[in-house]
Amino acid sequence: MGDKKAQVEVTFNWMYILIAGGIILLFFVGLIVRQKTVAEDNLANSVVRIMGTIFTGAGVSEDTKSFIDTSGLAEMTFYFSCTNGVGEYGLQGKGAKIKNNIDPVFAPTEIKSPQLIAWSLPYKLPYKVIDLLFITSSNSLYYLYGTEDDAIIADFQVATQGMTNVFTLQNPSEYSDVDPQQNYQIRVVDATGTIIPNLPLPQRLERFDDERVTALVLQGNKADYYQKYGRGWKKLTPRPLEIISLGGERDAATFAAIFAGSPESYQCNMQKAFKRLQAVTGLQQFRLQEIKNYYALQEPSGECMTLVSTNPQGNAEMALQVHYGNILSCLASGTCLQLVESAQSLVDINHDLSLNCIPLY
Amino acid sequence: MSATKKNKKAQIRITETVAVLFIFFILMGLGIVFYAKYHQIALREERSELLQRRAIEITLKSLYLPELLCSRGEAVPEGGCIDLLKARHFVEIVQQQPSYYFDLFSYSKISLHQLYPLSPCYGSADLCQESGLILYDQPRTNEEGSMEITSSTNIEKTFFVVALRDETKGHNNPAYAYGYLEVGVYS
Repeated sequence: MGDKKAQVEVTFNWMYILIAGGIILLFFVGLIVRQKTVAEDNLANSVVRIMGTIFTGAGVSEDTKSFIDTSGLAEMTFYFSCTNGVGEYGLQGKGAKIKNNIDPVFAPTEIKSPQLIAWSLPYKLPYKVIDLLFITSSNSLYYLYGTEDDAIIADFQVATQGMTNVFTLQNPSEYSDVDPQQNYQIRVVDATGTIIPNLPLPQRLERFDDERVTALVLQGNKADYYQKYGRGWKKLTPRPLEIISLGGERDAATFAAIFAGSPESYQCNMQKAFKRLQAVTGLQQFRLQEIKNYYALQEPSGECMTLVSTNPQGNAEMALQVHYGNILSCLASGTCLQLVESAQSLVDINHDLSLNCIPLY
Repeated sequence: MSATKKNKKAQIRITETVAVLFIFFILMGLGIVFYAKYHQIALREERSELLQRRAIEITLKSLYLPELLCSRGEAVPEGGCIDLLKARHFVEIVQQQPSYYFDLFSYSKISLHQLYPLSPCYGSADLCQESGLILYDQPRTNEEGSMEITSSTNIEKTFFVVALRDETKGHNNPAYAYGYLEVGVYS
């Protein structure tokens, strides 16, 4: 009788130990799994935060290209998007992200690369408004095609010296030989409008995912975006996008169109620049008022006062007011082409002022 | 006799179990206390790191602010220079678009000081005061909306030497003064 009782007791003791041990083991396994998730989230947050700081630095270092080693994150995919004036970037599949409604960032929709390239150029309309930040990667290839008349191609090629992912096609037949090899995505930039969308898609591009092969047709200050669609091209812009710029070398707004992942992202980021233009122009108006007050005391009927405020044919005050009005209507309606004209009149007036008076900017 | 022996044995077992449980809970308590302390320190460090990062970002943005830079027509703007004709009115632009500039500068204070010459004071009389010409100030506020300064409120300050340009002073050429930009970030 006593033996049986002892046997049952021993069995129960073992069962008790097994159950308790199992629970404790489960607890620790759960803890480890949770810690792993937390550690991954923390890492993703840190990466995105550091990227944010790097992008801020790159954004203010005008015309400096930064090559950022991301080999440790080569398996992670960065995404960039912009909707309703708010840009967002982060790591795909992770909660870590940064939202920004101030800085215009032009980048492919997705980047998966061991090296990021950050570059910024000042956007002027006609005075400096903001730095446009371009983000790309060493495995995002850009193929440029244009004739000698298409200055933008030569200009872009010179400006991107040091970047090994930009190639120029000498003639349309080179287009059919485009070979992206093991790279992540490609963009064809056609300044003639002859190869895209008319020529058939290069054979080696056919195996690529549609969203990783895009094209931009630049003609004057108009841009059309295309995306690979099976064995051909699909137009993404119902009507060409207007590039709001005064032209010239290193034209930030046109370069931004080359780097932007989609037409929506381009327009959204340009809206950020126009929002800043409103503030900068507001301040230019205050500055002009100071200049006007100065000349009102110094030489009320002099040449400078005429250029600043009293010339009925056109003066700085009027030109700045028209420009400010155009900015407001651009922000309200989205049609911003008139900004180019008003900016050009400011350039002319500033030129006249800078000869003998205090310039506008 | 055998019943007393059994009772004693059981009592010893119970005491043993209680002792084991007691030690287990003490160890668990100690673990929780250590972990909480470690977590608290790690959080404080992370907070301070975040503050420093924010301070760097805001300082960079303030130094290269297109609103304030000394432009030179189509040429590259003068580096490390602030245009006083614009700086004087910057606060009015901030008041017109407060949320935009809050997104840019967050909780911080940016002020401009003139060091040389001490007289005349270019741009604004505030420039030569101790407080300087305040360009932006957004302290943290409590729920009642009043400024919240507690023992834990910290302000991370950075100073940058800048040239101050006033084109309405000087004869034919703009007048330059020497000063500094103070950027303080509230924690």
